[in-house]
Amino acid sequence: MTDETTQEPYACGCAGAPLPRRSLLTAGLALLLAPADAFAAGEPGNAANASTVKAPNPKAIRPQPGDTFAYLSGEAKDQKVMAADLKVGDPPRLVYPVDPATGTIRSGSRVNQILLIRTDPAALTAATAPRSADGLVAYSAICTHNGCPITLLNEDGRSVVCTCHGSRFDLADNGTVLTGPATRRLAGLPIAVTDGAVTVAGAFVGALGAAPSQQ
Amino acid sequence: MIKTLSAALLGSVLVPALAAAAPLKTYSTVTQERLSNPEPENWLMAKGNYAGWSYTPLDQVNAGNVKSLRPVWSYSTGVTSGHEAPPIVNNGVMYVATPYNQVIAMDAKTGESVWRYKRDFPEGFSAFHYTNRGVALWGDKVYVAGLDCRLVALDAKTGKVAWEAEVCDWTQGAYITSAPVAVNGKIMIGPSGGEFGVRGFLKAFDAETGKEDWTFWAVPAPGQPGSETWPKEGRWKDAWKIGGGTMWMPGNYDAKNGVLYWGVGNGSPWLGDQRPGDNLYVASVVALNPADGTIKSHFQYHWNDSWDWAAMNAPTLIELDRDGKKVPAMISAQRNGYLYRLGRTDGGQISFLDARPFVKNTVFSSVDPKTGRPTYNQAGVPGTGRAGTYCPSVWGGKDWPYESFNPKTGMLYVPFNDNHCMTYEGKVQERVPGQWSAGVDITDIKLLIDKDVKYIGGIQAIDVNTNKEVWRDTYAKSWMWGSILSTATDLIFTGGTSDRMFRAYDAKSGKELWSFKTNSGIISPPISYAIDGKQYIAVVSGWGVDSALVQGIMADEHGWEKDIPQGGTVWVFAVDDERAPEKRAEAGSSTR
Repeated sequence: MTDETTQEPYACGCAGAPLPRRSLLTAGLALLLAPADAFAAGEPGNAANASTVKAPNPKAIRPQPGDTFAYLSGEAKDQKVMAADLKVGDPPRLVYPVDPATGTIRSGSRVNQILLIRTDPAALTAATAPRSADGLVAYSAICTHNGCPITLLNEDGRSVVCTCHGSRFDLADNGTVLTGPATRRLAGLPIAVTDGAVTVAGAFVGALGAAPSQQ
Repeated sequence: MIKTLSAALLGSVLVPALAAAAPLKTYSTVTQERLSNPEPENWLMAKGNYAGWSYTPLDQVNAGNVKSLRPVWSYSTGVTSGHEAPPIVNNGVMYVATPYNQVIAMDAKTGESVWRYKRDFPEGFSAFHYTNRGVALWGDKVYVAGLDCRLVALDAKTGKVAWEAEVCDWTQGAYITSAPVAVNGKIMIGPSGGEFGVRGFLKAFDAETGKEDWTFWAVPAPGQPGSETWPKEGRWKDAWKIGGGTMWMPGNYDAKNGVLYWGVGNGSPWLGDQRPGDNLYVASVVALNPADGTIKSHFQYHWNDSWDWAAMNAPTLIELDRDGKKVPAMISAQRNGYLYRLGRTDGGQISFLDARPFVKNTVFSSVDPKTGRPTYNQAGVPGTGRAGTYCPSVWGGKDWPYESFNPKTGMLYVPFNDNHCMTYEGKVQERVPGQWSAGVDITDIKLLIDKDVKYIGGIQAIDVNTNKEVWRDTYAKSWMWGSILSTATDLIFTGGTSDRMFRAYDAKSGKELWSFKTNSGIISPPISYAIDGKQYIAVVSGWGVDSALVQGIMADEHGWEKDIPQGGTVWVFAVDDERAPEKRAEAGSSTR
């Protein structure tokens, strides 16, 4: 699959991976060909059981446009992330999206752990620059190898390292894998700066979580 | 002709496919009596017996015919990542656990699948090591514990879930790779997570209902015995809450006297100066009562662990010849690079007998001959803001793969790694649930290996009575990640090397007698079983996890081959049946 997947910004709460943008016909064919047990475990909320969809959990839905961010750990835990707090050369900060209307921190799903960092804006590639704001870039913090949260800045200042097994991802170029064992890039999250706060400007671009390596 | 052929092909495809879907009609119930005295034809637990021998009494495959050993069937698991589970065999049925908590039940004679259990994982799931070290059997159920901290009981005939129990919380960084151990109707299991601030424990669950029975905490809470070895006040007073000591490998069991012997892992964070004190029961073996999980005694291999030298390997239960008498004892090649002999009483009291290095250890300047307590060369002790360089590295003189004891040769066969060292400087890391917090990041760690190193991996054969090495084989271009199986016919079988080979050696001389190149590298323990009087040797080939990580470092820094193919395959071998056809017929059909 080479086409870019985009996470829909509305709340689905689905446990499954996002569907790539394909024609309905292809999707239907895939449904027909899929082994029956792929849907046998359909729980409420799964796309296969649309009639039983529950109200989305605001803590677990994906980041929504306009969301602010809160620090996930450290002395400023749960506090709002302001653009001025993030400096070039600082290690990445792990944050959760926050519903600005209710103050709900969307910590209910692990894939909402987001890595926020300020990089050199001049180094950003064409894929990444439009999703950035003044050199600030955001990616899924969940390593695509085994799912560990990524916390380390590499000495080159533009890539991050997962401390579990050393996978390295290029922040300036679309989260591309620079060294394995990971094989899939990090999903990017478009961001903006609104009234000094870092905010969400769009849905994740790319697949979230560890890439499956099982049958 | 073409039509006939295709019809025949279709038939041959369809018939086994239908058979494969059928659950077992009969199953041999697993009792305590059977586990305490396993039949030679079965492999009912990870190490073959409670003593931890990884030894088969079967004697059909021997030095004379091993050259004709050939594969009789294989089975692809369809899963990548490291396959570290031995096949478990009960009267003709084989159960193989794979990474991602899957279990495949197969006809051990034919390789036809019987059922398969698959696991769904939560969104955004993570675990440090995607592997599984095998199932346990009790009654009519199969038990598998998984990365998502669940212990699952499956119906042995159908694979249907009988119950599930929560052992730990994966969002905190805990995960399970260990094979469970079944004793007296209880299933015992402990998680990994010593790099994520997990406080280690062992839990027992009722085998029938899944109800939690008891918990043994490897790091005592304030006021409990052993808590005096942890800081009580000051900056590190809460160190015990995140102290590590995870019990992430199956323990051994003295079935005669009812005593469990379990290994306890490394300290967390790795730097000992962030938890001043001896830190019981980190880096220890503990003797436990299986009825209630209470501790009977312990022996700590090294105090205030600062090297990630986890003591998760339970010592192998043996008897030593002393003054013409057999005395109960234990032997263990530890990750810290020392070989220990320990005494044990019927009541589960552990005593220190002796210790000697089996690989280069640059940290212990001496070991007290009475107590076994080491003194440290301070340059080899990494601290917070203070670099330390030490050998062996975090992967140890012997990592988790099983050593094997052969009662006929009286030798212990140890898969080892030597000539690798490490340096790091620690820092204080905030413990965030689910985040690495070992006090050392991967970018801070340097694996040190001499450019002209002659070997790293190998096998040592050690006479347990004299404690002397009898022979060794070494691998110039590979680490050793393989467990060892020894046989009553004085053979040993092992894999573990990056060249994907499965090997047989003469157990007395160390001469290589046979080898076979498999699909991937072998890091799963070899086993043996028999059906209808025919002996089989089985192993799962599926490189990954630490073997792949270290191979990557060796490729980058020493030019070794980088990409060892991954993907699990079960291999089953046998020698040609030399008996007359009528003798074979007399042996009857499959017991299934």
